[in-house]
Amino acid sequence: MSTPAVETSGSSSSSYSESIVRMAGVTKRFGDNVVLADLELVIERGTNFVIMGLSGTGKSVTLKLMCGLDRPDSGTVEICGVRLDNATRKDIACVRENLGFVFQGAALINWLSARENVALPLLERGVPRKEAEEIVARELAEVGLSDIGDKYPDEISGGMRKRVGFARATVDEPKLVLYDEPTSGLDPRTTRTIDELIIDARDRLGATGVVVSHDVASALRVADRIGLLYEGHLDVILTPDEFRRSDHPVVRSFLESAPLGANGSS
Amino acid sequence: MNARGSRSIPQRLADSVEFAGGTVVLFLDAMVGLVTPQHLTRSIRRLVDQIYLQLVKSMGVVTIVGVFIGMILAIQSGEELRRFGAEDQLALIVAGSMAREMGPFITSVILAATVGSAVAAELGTMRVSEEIDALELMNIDPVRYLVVPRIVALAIASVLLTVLVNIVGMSGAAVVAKANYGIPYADFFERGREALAGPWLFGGLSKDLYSGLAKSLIFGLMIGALSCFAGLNAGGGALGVGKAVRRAVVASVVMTLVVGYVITWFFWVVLP
Repeated sequence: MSTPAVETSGSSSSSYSESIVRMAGVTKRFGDNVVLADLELVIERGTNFVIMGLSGTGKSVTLKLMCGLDRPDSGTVEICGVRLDNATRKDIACVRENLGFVFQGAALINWLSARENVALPLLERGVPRKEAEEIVARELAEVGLSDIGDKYPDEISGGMRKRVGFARATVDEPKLVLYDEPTSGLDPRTTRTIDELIIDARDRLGATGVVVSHDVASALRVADRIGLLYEGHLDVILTPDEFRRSDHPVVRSFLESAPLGANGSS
Repeated sequence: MNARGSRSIPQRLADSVEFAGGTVVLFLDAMVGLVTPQHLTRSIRRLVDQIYLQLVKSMGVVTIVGVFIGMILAIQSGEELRRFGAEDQLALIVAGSMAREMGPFITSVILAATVGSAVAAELGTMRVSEEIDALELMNIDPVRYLVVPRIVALAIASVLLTVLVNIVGMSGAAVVAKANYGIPYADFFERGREALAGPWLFGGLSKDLYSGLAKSLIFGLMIGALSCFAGLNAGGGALGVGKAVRRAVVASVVMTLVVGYVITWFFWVVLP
């Protein structure tokens, strides 16, 4: 398959000083399989950036590079002004203090209650227990789960687990939140709730969001810009309106397979 | 085994060396975490939970196996001793065997099968469901948070359960001695106590006892490190977790025998 012509929206040429994520010339291989090839990406502060792409195109790998869970084979990854591709453990820890991650399966610790899960990053950071409890109560209320604080992850639904995961990721008000397939496997109503939480994190906390998703309707709702990861590159970076109108064959295939409403939302 | 699962002998050897090396590094990392006071105080609750869980998980099976091991030892040795009219020496043989070798060995094998497998499965599941990644992203060191309490709890549980195995093993043997050879309980236990006399440590531990307890302590630490390493390095979904469990149990049992021999050699050949 040939690489389509590069399409980018005007906003992609934003000032570097406003960027919170900068990836340049990033290549990542697994054996002979080149997943990312000379990837270039700049994400502005306070915006939601959605990475879309077919399965196996390296979306989750890109997120892992952004949080230091993996390192690129070549190229640079700079998060909050810190180079992660050659960072020490201390530097990575520093970046992670400003970072939240919402996992696809929530990744809650099974033997801790919902409340204890949300409190975990605070307590480990040394926040006094009483203060942590107040913050956790507030955070659980924000995600509409005040009444399930004492329940364990295996006692609540998948949607609730994701919301608890969201509360844990944002409890210490990070500057950057990474979302790995936040709406996969959820019903439309819960999907909309999660979308609203992602938008709220940007508007209320001023957090930059990087969302990896297959869900076109959800992406169009939460995104300020959408990037299409295709053959190892993020060449197509568009606003939601531009995305709807794009002639790019992969974008068209996403749009045609998604159950969108008249205005582009589900 | 299918083609995907079959690997050459050099590959298997390389894997084993990598596994052993990784386990040693993890163990040393955990010991550093253990001696950091800030880490230790935060880990106390998790440590107590782990000790409780591990003792509860293993106590029943350890008791049953211990009783029968003692009874088997008594009947095996008793029949041989009867041929020489030396049944009164039975307690000496059973007490020595249980304290030095059988107690620590049986406890270790049971711990590998019950607790070691559970630890590998638990950490393996946490790995494949990204819970370990979640901890790292919260700047929580998985070694300090997960590994240290499990290794220390296994070491403590191993020593306590070895003492239990020794006691119930001697009790089982006493029943056989009384029923088959007419040796009164009091005489059996008195002879057993005399058998454990020898060079003493801390005023109350004979060499039989302290070498056996040292062995069980080392076995506990070893099973903890092997199981945690196998679990933390699980990959490939449920199949990967299964492989991690098998690897943890096999490595623990094999290493129990190898390390057990080395410790026995050290205490009974090298030490005077």
